[in-house]
Parts: sequence; C-alpha cells; structure tokens
Amino acid sequence: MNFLSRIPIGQFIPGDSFVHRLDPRSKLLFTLLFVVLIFFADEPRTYIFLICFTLLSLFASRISLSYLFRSLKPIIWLILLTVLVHIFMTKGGSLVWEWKWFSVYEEGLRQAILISVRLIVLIIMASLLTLTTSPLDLTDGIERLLQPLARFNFPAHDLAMMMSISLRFIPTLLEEMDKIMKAQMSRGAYFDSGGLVKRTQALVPLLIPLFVSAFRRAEELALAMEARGYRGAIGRTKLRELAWSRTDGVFLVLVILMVVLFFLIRQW
Amino acid sequence: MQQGRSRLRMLILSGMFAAITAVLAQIEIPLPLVPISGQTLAVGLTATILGSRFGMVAMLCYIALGAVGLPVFAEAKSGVHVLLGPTGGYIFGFIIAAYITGYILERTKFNLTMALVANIVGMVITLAIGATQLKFVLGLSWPEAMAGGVYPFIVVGLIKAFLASWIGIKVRNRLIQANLLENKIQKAAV
Repeated sequence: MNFLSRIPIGQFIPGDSFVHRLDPRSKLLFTLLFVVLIFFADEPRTYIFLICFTLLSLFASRISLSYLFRSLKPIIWLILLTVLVHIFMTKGGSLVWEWKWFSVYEEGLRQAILISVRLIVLIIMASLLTLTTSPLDLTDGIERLLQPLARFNFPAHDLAMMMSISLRFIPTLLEEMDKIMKAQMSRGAYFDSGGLVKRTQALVPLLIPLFVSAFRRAEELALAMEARGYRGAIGRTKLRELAWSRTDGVFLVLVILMVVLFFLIRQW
Repeated sequence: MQQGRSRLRMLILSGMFAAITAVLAQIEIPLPLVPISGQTLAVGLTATILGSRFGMVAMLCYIALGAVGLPVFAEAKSGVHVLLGPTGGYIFGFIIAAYITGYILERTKFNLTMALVANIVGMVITLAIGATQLKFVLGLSWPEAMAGGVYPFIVVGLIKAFLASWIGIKVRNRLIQANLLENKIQKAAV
C-alpha cells in the first residue's frame, strides 16, 4: 500500500485539523450516521440544525471551500433539474403562482428548497470524508469495518491486498491494451471504423489476450506470494495501527450530543 | 495448500478485474442525468468470467478503490460523495448484480442464452437499485424516478447485456481452452 502514500493521488488534502486527526473508522461511521439523519430531517428547523453542524465541521476541517465546489459542480444540473421537477410537479398547499398551464404550489416550493439543501449538505459531508482522510487511512478503515463479514467467508482481511494489486495493475493493463491494439492493427484489425457489430467484434481479439495475460499474471503472483509465505490475515502485523485517540473520544461525545439534539429539535 | 493457492489466485484475479472495470469505466457514452459507461459492460464480463462470489468481491474492491478517492468511477470521478449522491445506487447495484448474474450462470449453464438471461437480470437489478437511491436522495415520486433513471437506459442496457454475455462467453471458452480457467464452477471458498 505504500505506493498510495507516496503518489499524491486522490482527493486528500493534507492537514492537521481536528477532523484530519480523527480515526478513519469514526469518520466513516459518522458519515453513514449523518446520511441517515439527513433522511430523518423533514422540517425546516431540522435542516437548519444540519446546516449548522455542516458549517461547524467545515470550520473544524479548515478545508478551502473551492475543493467542495469541485465536488458539487458535477451535480449542479441534477440539483437544478430536481428543483424544477418539484416546483412544477409537486402539488399541495395553496397556489402561489399561476401562468397559463404552469402552476406552482406551496408544497412544491418547499420540497424544492428542502431537497436541494439536503443534497448539498449530503455531498459536502461525504466529500469532507474523502478530503480529510488519506486513501491509506480510508482503506484501513474500510477493511476494519468490513471485518465482521469475515464470518461469512468474505475476504475482508484481503481487501487492502486486492486494492493495492488492482491499483498496481491499472497502468500495466492500460499499457498492455495499447500493445495488443497495435499488434492486432498490424494484423489488419480496425478498432475505430464500421458499425456497432463490427466494432464489438473488434473488441474480442482485444479483450481475450488482455484477460489471458491477467490470468497468467495472477497465477505468477499467487505463486510468488505463497512462496514468500503469504497466508492472508493469519498472523498479520501492521506497520500503522489504527488507534482510538482522545480526539475520537471528544468526537464521540459531540456526535451523541448532535443526535440527541437532532431528535429533540425534531420532536419539538 | 492447493486450495489456498486457488483462493489466493482468485482473490488476485478479482483485484485485476476491479482494475479492468476501472479502465473500461473511462469509456463513456454521454447521456443526460445518468451517464452510461463501459462500467456496466465490465460488470457483466466480470460476473460471467469469475462467477458469483469472486465477481461480487471484485466489484466491492472496485467500489472501495473509488471510495478512498482514486479516480476509477466513470468520468474519472471518485470519493464517498459519488457513492452517497443521487447516482450512487447505480454503482452499489454492481455488487448485487455481479453476484446474481454469476449465480444464475453457475446454477444453469455457461452458454449464450443463459448468459443473456443472467446479464439482463443483472442489468434490471442495477437499474432498480440505482433508481431507488435516485428516488430517495432527490425526493422524487416513483414514476418520476422511473422516467429519469430507468426508462432511458433500457435499450442501451439490453444492448450492453447482449455484448457482455457474448464477449463473456467467448472469452470464457477461450480461457478454458487455454487451461487457464477450470470448466467446473470455482468451488474454492471465498
């Protein structure tokens, strides 16, 4: 996995804020909890509470807003479209505005605002997780959280191994695909002309050598790993251990407070 | 020991198919709202070649790669927010779609007809899970979610299901011929 730590790949912005120092497991679990809370929110006041908490987390993470806009940008059209759908399609409440066959109702306006706020809050909190946690830590966190699945024969322990293998082989496979393409073209294959059927047929002599070489490499790698005594999770030690720190304790208290407050506000 | 090796080999292969999915996902067919990519083609191929359990493991590995911030999703996107956002269900759906597609093939026969059936079922599952998440995240009604997230993709989906099963079976047969894949179902425990 140290390949990941050396190359600045991914979205992680290094820092030393409160959010950065948190254990990846607590951040992952918190993000999931927050998503659930977002779907429990149905009143403007609960939304205001969630917005406040989001702003607080933003402040605590000291991430520049421009990074967040970058993750919001791809879904701006989707948000606009949803707003339009809700404004014109959701009926209920009193009539706010009417023009020929367009009619806007109170309920539609309300839904449009609430849903777009919900989306923005959701995207901001989820990107905060990837922005403040290094890929390495996140991988460790995911692996750790999937551990209970090992009881059902799921290879939770091997996930990090598999991820580093696929990462290591993405460039290799791309290179190989290029090579195979050139080799087939020199034998008279065309990849960028003809109809759909022709182009699909051209894919077969491209994919088969690619898969064959993937199978060969897997065979060799498995042999090499076995020869060096790889036994999966059995007796594995780690260079970097995830540890529960005082920051996580503080965070846990904060999160519990937040959840209690959220439901109090919701009931009130 | 032999069993251990074949399990390790299949795990490594799952990792490689996650890489293949990442590469194919960058081939993009632009469509408004929910973009369609070589991703779904790769899911069908993975399930047809690796079978249910390892196909599912490969998809989980792919999603985990994207979740930690590596640009493996369509349009080189990445991050947890893509998964939790409106269109994330189409990615989560791969896990179950790969499992079911592989499962149907293992229980019946690895021939073109069954592969086509299995891949269509897989496609339906992906679309269903995707539309469900779309509905809940955007607060749409069911007909709206279906109109935005299912109907526009049925025809393309059917073409892709056909491609995935056709190429998948062809590749599988060649791999068996080359003695790289056992003809029987991979029995090694995941």
